[in-house]
Amino acid sequence: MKRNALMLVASLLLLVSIASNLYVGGVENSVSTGCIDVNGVKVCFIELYEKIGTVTIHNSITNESYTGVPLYSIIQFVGVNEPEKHYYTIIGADGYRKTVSWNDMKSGVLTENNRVAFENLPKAFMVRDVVKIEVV
Amino acid sequence: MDKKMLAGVVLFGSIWGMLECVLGDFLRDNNLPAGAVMTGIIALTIMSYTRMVFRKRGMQLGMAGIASVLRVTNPFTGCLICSAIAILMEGVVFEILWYNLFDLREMRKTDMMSLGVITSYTCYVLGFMTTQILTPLLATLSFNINDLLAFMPQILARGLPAAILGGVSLPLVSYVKSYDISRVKSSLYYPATVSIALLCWVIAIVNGMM
Repeated sequence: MKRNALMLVASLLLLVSIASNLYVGGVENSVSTGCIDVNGVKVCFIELYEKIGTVTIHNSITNESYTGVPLYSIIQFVGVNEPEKHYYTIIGADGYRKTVSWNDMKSGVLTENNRVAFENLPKAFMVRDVVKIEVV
Repeated sequence: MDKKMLAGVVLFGSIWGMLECVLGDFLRDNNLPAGAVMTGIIALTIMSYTRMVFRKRGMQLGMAGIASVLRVTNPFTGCLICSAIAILMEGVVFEILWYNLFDLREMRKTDMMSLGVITSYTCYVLGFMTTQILTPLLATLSFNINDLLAFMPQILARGLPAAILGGVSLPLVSYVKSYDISRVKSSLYYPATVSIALLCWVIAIVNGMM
């Protein structure tokens, strides 16, 4: 009974994992095209770099510096009203997402290789291949 | 907890932590499946071997604690907090799954493979989920469950390599059960344990500085 249970559970877990792989592979993953969707507005990196410019921040946890377009400037660029009253969900091409506050957005940048970085948040928040920023 | 077991906790925890820092970072830097290898092979092998040899509950959790502390000493690569949390969670999951397991000798190979799959997959998925919950909580004192739910299919999918590696590793661990390190003479065991553990810490710290 116990032996059968072990095989059954293992088979079930493998099935779940394979099904998840098929699902993930079947769902159309967003592709980073040089532009991102910010609150329904499509903005492209070239435009952001030219019109906003870049800053360099230093992350206190990883002890690394990151250069990019300030995230708060991007939000202002697309015309979000009362940005301080919202949270922001940053979504990567693989579906990985993190929700941050306006305060964090004020100390974050979108780098040239399409990754977000923050001054005071750990690397888990540095979403890669950003395709979308949702205003929550 | 006897002295030999305590020394074993320090020794194997240090080896595990050192491998997390050195091998884990090497795999990540070369775009290889670090999580699957570290969980499915390294963590499972070390925890299951020590469980068979020392036959004590709680030891693997202690080893995970040592390994996670050592991981924290290597702050220059990867997500520091995530890795430490994941390692600790692997110890917790192992202790729960293997609560009544001390020996694999009476198990058939297919049962060992199944157990390897179950242990590795569960460690990987629950470790990943725990980091996704605790990292935001520790960093920002807030957690958005939608961030986790949206990423769950990816987490469940990414566990497959760890599951497969675990299914292969555990039967292989049973072959080394005759190498019972706990039977080494005390005059050699304790000095060797201290030396190897220290070496692991030095390697991990130097690796972090490079």
